[in-house]
Amino acid sequence: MQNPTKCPRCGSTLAEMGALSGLCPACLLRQGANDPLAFAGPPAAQPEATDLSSVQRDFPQFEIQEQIGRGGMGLVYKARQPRLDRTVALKILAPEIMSQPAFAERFLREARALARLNHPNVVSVFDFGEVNGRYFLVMEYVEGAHLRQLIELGRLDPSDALRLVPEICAGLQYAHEQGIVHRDIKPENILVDARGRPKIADFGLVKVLGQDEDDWRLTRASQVMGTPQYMAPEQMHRPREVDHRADIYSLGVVLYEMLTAELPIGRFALPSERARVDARLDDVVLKAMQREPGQRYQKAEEMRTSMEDIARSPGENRKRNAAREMAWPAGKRIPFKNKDKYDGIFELHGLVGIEEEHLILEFQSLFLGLGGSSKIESMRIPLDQLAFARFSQGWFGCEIRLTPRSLKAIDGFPSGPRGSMRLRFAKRDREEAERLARFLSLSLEG
Amino acid sequence: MPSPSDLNLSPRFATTRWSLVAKAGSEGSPDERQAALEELCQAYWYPVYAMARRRGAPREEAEDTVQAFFARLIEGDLLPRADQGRGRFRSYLLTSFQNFSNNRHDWAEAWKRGGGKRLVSIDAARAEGRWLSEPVDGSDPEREFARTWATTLLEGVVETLRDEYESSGKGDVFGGLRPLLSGEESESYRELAERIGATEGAVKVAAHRLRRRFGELLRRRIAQTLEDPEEVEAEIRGLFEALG
Repeated sequence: MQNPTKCPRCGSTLAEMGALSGLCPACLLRQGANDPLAFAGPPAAQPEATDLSSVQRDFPQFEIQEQIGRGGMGLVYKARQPRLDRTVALKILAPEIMSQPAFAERFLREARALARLNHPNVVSVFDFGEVNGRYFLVMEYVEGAHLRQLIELGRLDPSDALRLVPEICAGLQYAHEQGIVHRDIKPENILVDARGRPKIADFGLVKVLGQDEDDWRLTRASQVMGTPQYMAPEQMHRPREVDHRADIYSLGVVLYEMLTAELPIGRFALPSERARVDARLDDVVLKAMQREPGQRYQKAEEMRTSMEDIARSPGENRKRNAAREMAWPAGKRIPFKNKDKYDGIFELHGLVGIEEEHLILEFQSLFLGLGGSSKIESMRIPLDQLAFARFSQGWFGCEIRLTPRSLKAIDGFPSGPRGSMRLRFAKRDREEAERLARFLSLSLEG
Repeated sequence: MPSPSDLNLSPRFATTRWSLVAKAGSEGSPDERQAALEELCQAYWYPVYAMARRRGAPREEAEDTVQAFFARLIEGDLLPRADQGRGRFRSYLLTSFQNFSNNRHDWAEAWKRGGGKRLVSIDAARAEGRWLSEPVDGSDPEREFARTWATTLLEGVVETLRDEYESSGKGDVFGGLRPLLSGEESESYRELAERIGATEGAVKVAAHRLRRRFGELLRRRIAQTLEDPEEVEAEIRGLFEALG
């Protein structure tokens, strides 16, 4: 057999035959699975990339600087208003979707609803209108990143969640008091500015409560609006009955994701089982995500209070206390076997344990094609060199993924492409592996 | 109450192929159940073949075993019991085949009773070619099953997508954009646009549509193998692991 061709992006083996030939199955799956909108039913019209000069022509009062975003509804540009000497975000409705009256109506509705809001945790709208058939919004420009980026970069820890979520609650509470429900709270819609202040953006799906009896018609019967992973159950089933408590549900999902970097899907694990977090946050997530709106926090304010109480009394961390009682026995090792990460060239067999604030590893490579094995190598990694430990359970066994503070810390360990260290355990060692992961997480926190 | 994912699948798909089979009696007629099961088996026989080969069966024997297995499966002799991973066609197929091939008597018997009936059409030559072309990674049969399950599923999605484009006379668009399915290669948009004589903007829009449709078909195809379509995301994570 010839050497199979590798994927230039992820290094996996490309398929050789059939419908997949020349494609990388792993990247294909990633591509297909990562598009949350793919699940949302109607094919959202995609804004055509417009070049800056044509935007500049239509908006001479602005200096258009760069395109900074694109969503289902339009393109967003960073622009400067020289007369006011301020930088703004200019959002322009995509030309194709303007032909559909419901979209334009929805756009204007978004603008009016947003323009009415004035709160430090809500992105302000300064102006809106239409020029040469282009609908636009002029919004506060937020220098920073959205929560999705922060989650993906691993930049958030539980203390950030404890700080950011109460502020997000404050913004929501304010909007809810004005009769405005966001209806699409998700990490992409929460911006964090340079000073670390969260701001809720894109009230694109708001429904102005009690203002317009026929309002629901804007949400066409077949079209469930929102992002499925973050939507409250009633948004799916009874979209007309959605009220502000749908936002509280979505924020519960966002909080879960901030704490665990995963989505709560199916029978999900509690945050404290997944990551090193205060077990009282489990209760907050569960209450926010109750299926019945009546069982959730009834106001964003209440969720904020719960979070602030936890932030104020870190000493009550039940998990931490449990950790101090639990020590890892000095000589104790559990076996791991990394079979599939090295392109079928070798397997890694070894033992792992903890001793004197160090992660102790002993391992050996077994060469598959040629036979034979390497000498036994050992590593001692100081625990303070590790940033995160994450346990996950999969189809074939379980895994602990360790993220080092610097790559140097795991130098010498055959690692994956992302600079993390993965240890795989057999099904029968699951309990031990989970205990090790929990112990590591708690030690890293201290 | 319908589950959230039901609403995202078109009504035709709200009842999944596998829920028709697994929830015997409650939904669909016996004929519909039979048809659904056959359809699933036809789509996913290759992972079973690959597992049989990985377990050491020579080519002819693997083919016969797999045929006999599917004959029994489809004739209803191996319908899932509640404890056999009934929620997913994948687990069911794996467990049933493991049980089946551990018991030689079973399949010899089935083969006799069925008179060598072939209910699933297996292109053995192609299967063998594919099996030989795939990397030998020293993995165990179960892992082999999971990996080939994942690639078979993806293959089905790409085929459906290709058929959709071809039937609307856009086969060339599909052919041109196909490489983009597995990743964003922004610099190649321009080359592609030049090659097929379109603007770069038009190529981007077409690529976006293709990807979106691919995502829809992917989730739909996964849902078809599950009793509860709400488990799609969990299944996707498993697929990543299988390909990892």
